[in-house]
Amino acid sequence: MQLPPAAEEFLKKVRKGLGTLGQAERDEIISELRSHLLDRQAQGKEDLLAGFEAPDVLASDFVAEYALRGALAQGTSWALGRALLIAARDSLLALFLLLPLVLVQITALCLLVVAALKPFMPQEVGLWVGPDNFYVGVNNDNPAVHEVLGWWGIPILAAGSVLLFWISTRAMRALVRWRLRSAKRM
Amino acid sequence: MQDEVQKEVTAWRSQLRKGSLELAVLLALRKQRRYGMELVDLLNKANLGMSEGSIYPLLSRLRAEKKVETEWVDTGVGHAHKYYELTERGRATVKAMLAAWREFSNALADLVDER
Repeated sequence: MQLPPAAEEFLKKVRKGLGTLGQAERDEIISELRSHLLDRQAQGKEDLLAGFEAPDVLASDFVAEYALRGALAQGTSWALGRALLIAARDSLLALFLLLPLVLVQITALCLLVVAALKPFMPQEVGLWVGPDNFYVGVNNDNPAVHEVLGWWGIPILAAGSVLLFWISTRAMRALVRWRLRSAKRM
Repeated sequence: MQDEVQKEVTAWRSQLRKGSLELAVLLALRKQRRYGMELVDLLNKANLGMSEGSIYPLLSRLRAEKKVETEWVDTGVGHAHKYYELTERGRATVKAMLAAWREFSNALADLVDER
């Protein structure tokens, strides 16, 4: 049985909105929606799309569900961040919470890089303190600051990096769970 | 003022409906497996105001949470239907949610009856 062009167009738009999902998932979702529309058509319903959300809204509900669940299963900060970014399309709050967490992860990465460089550039990298300065990184012959950690910088900066990474990943997981709970209420 | 109150009550009813949708879907699957459109019709018959498409992301989540399992069945109408059936985990969830619902409902009923 064939669906009218408007219904086919609707399915096409939903499929387009499901772009980030795998082929099998997209096919399954579209097959189920097609089956629903065919049933309504067989019942003699005239406007098959009445009562449906806009195709992009319906698609984004699916994408957010799949992305968030998948990210929780993977647990990596990359997957969590990506899922939150997708979910952030309909939640500015999620975006505002995500951005600081991404910054914390970047800071964690920087600490790790400095710790890794310390054995090769012991005089140039570390934790630098001066009258108006306090930073971790490379000192380009600034006499106003001095390095305070010495060789302890390697374990301290590495531990700091791991701690920041762990805390921000935990926070991302909590944010993903919160978004899922929000989605459940929709 | 009457309009405002009505608006607030409408919004509150909508939140109540959304909050209880998962339980409603799981209850509808307690005795038999059903496909998506059957569930939409059943919930609408019970005045739960289900829109046509919004049940599918919910069903998709229930499946991912292993509360339901699915099977495509050719029922002889020219196209297949995707049936949803409760798993053991789904049954345990319904039981626990129902107990929580009854507890909440009784607590509220006590308040309503209080003089």
